[in-house]
Amino acid sequence: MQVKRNALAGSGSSAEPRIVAALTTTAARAACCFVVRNVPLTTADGAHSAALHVIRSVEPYDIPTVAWIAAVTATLSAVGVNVRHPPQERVRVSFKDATAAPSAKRGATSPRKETDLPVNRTEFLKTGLGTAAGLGLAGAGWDWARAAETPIGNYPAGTEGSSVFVGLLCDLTGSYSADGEDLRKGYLLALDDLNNGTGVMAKIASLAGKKGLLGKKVEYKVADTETKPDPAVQHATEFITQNKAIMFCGGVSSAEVIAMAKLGQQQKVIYMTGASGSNDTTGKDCQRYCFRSQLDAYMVAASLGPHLVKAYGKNRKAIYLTPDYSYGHSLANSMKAETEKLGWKTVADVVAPFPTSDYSSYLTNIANSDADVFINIEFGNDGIASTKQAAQFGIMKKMQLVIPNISTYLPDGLGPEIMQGVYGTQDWYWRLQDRYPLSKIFVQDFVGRWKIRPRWTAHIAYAQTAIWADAVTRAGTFNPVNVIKTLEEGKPTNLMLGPVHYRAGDHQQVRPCPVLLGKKPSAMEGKDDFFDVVDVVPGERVMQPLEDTSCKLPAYS
Amino acid sequence: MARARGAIVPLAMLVFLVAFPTLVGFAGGGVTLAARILVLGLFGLGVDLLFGFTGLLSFGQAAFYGTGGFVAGYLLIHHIVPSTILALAIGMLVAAVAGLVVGSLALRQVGVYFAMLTLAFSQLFYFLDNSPLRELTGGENGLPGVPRAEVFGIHFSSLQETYAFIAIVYFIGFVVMRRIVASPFGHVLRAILDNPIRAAAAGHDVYRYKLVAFTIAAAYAGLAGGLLGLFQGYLPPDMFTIDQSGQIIVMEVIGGPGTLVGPLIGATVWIYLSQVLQNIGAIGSLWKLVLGLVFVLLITGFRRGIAGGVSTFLQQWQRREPAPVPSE
Amino acid sequence: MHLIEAQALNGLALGAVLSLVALGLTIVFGLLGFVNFAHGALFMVGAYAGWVVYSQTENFFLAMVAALVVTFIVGLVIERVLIRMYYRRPPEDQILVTYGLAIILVEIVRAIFTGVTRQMPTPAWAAGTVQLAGIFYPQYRLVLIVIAAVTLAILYVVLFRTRIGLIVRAGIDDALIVNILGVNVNRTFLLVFALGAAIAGFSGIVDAPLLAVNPDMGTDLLVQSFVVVVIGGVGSFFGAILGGLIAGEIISLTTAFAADYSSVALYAAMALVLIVRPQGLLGVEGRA
Repeated sequence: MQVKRNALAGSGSSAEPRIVAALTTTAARAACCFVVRNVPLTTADGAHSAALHVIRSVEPYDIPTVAWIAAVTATLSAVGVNVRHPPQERVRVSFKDATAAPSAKRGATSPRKETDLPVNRTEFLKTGLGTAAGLGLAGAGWDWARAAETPIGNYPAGTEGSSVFVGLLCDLTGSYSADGEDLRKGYLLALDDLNNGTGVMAKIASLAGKKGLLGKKVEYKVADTETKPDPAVQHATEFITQNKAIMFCGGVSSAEVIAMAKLGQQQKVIYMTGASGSNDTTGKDCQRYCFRSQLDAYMVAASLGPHLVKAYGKNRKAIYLTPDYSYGHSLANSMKAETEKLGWKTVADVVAPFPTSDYSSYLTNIANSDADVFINIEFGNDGIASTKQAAQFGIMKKMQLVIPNISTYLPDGLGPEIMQGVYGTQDWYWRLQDRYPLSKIFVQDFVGRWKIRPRWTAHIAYAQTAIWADAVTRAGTFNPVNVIKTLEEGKPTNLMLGPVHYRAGDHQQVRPCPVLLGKKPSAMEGKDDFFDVVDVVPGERVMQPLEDTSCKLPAYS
Repeated sequence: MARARGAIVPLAMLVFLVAFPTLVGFAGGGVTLAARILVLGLFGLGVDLLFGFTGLLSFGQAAFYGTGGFVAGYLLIHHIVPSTILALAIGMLVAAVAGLVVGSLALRQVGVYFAMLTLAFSQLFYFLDNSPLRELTGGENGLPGVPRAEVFGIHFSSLQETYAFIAIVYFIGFVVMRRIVASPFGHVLRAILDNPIRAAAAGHDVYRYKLVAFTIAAAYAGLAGGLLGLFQGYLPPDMFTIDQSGQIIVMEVIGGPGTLVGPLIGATVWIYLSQVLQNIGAIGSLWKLVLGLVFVLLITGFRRGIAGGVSTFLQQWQRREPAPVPSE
Repeated sequence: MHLIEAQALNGLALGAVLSLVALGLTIVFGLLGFVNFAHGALFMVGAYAGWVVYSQTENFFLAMVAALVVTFIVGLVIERVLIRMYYRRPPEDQILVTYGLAIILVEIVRAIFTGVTRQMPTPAWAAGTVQLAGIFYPQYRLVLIVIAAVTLAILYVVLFRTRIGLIVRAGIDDALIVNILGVNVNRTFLLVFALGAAIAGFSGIVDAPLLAVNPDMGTDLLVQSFVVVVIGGVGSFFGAILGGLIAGEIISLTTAFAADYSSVALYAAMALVLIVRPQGLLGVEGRA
């Protein structure tokens, strides 16, 4: 695609017929391949590597290119054109020139005017092919010289036009479809704000008064991950290879997020996570190209622990109900470590398979233990089912319920009767608008657009997009290496929770951690007014020490 | 003459496989999408042998798809087996053995019982993958880091090369399956499809034939699973889900059972439609509903799928008869 | 009461629900020879229908009625529009069409009610706990056992003590002969399919206070009810009950000892039954 654009730019004509454009593109690609195949390495090293660069930049089209070459060659042979030698000769010359003096060549290689359009068919094709080869390669050579930085991921290929592309991966069907829908709404608001220079985006210093990103419009598409890692990776791959995504983001389960983070690292495209609370995301599975904003399990435990001890006293006995997957275990272990440090005892950790719908067997064990605090690690629909059933077992009459990580729609599924007096954390909660002015703007804009209040998944979507946009603007380039390095500098971006930044060593966001307490039904103002914000714990205080994260970030390139 | 005719289909398939990424490219998809469709097509070849040729509707093929994939992937990731081919073969073998065991139990029943049993057994595999074997399979996070293919010192490192590798494997799988269905064995399977009682009366051990077909299908599923890991570099746990089993059946039915190319067509249509529908503003998250409706309409009106419908139409057209109104 | 007995009681409650769900499946199969893969989706539709009424009226009894009526009507419509065309087609086609139907039902509900989990609390009159020999046990689970038992008893009376039941059971044995005898079998088919759907929907609402009410809630249950049907014997009334109770006990008791294997054990037990008695514990041989 890049070759095509350059070829057109080089010819300096905007009103060229489409058919000519298509033909020249094809011919230019064909010529590149000829160069690679026919120019001896020893004599034209520079040209060879430059041509390789062109080939690489059109890599996803490699097989189509070959097919095109075959088709064009066949057609041309049929009309009696000898395709092999003339283009090769011209290419070789123009390429050497291009590498030697790119800027001069750029101006010089526009020998064709619109009036040159040939009359004779054979002549037409011949001229088209030759010129295109010259133009295309000169263009590519110029680009190669201009961008002294080596291409990486979809840079610069994805940034050549007047817009850049961002891929949004949302769980629109499957068990996290509600969270995924909230995520989608957050992204759409964020990107429209970015393109229009409105909302919270306009309040970010580097983005204020600007529309789009580095003067380019940000295009996007939404794909449904179906709450499964396989479709998530499938759609993300398409965004990267077909849409030349310069960034992709989303996912609601840690499994999806970890899988997409690996893809981002492999393809060298920045990935901003959706919802993912597992320590692994920025721990053993951390990636250079992945940034996570949500509280990890360690932060949840460290923010919540002191409040639990303050509220319920020391010397309490806790029992856990944990889903049998890595997120569940990491949160349970973090909670155990934190509360035991503060003087609590752990009676038992009851592990249930994932997913489970009937928890009676597990709850019987819990109900008949001598614990006095019930810490439910279950998440999403499993969290709802297990908590409902625990209430039926009368567990909450004997024990204090704690839900360390309260999933997006858990309070809606359980109702305020159960949620009242329950401590927990969320990535963000709309009541924080009373403390943070940007949260207020965010809630207002979101309600204005979608007629409902945002949940924390929408906050993640907006914040992750904004912090990336800020980093791109400050780096002044879409080059992922520069953007990552800018993010790693640790210069804070002022967002809905005040200034936040990523830790360089593991790409976990250092951010305020809201501690919530369930409201009494009578105290609720409206249907989604479930919590009081008890505290907002500064992130610096509750970060897991870097050496304990077992994160080894892979290389930049 | 007959020999020359026999070579036409494989040749056409070869040409198609070369051109396929370009065709997918025209439709806005990448080479990885083409590779994914081929993987599903290969998976579907086994399903077609089972359903299209023998009439066995298994709702548990995902178990073998996952088993083959995770075994091959595990061997490659931990460098237990140096050769890609060997790892794929072991994965395929393990899947086939799993198929033999499940099949020997499930095939004691027919029809709906068989479908329910395969479904239940695949759930067993899903839970095994998710809980007891979590240390090996990565549980709900799956297995990342599957290296790209390397055969006889040739590295299939880029996406294009990986596509080429998968296309070669698919081609071999396709040709072999053609031989299988054309063999006396294949004829017996079709006899079973037509009338199992008659086939038994003719002296064929129906259970044995079904079991072999089931094992072959499991082997194909296992091989396809291994290939998914190769091109994606990652094995997702949802390979084991009921959804996966259901989807391959849907693809088989949309494409056309008993045609061998049906699953490939079905996979193309399903994946392409899902991508296109998702990007139509008014449909968006309703894409699954639309596909569900399309599927029900197809199964109700065009039982032979796209490939079957086209071949019927061509036959009719050759005879210069008007195409019949599709009936139930 | 010791822990092991408490787990056995859990198994009974779980088994009661499973029996009920499986019974809907098995009645339809018995008469129509038709396995309804949309049974889980109908379970979910019942839960949603009940939830809509409950959220308006806060009356659990009305919610149960609503679930019954709505899923009965949905069953009638599905039978008339779609299933009818499939009686003469191979069982594989029937499975496929109901599989497609399940996708459609789930996605329609998601489109209408979004994917947000709905709040279906325990009815206030059954929200407490009962003390049984020293341990506290949820009242609602006991109520659930009673509801399931009463429903099963009513169904037994209808199927085995009434003229309609006679026709249905005769139809299960040989639909052709019943038709020749001048009974409108088509109408019986219609009624039975709708009855199966209504049982699924009713199970959905009575199970809803235990579960997260969302569009995907029926999927897992469908597979478990297949296991129940296979263990008990397809088409057998008492087989469904026995299978349900066995499945419930297996899940509950293995959980007490080896939670990791609770799901695995269920399928292992099913395999065992198949090896020893392929037609299921109470199934009749050769009724495939």
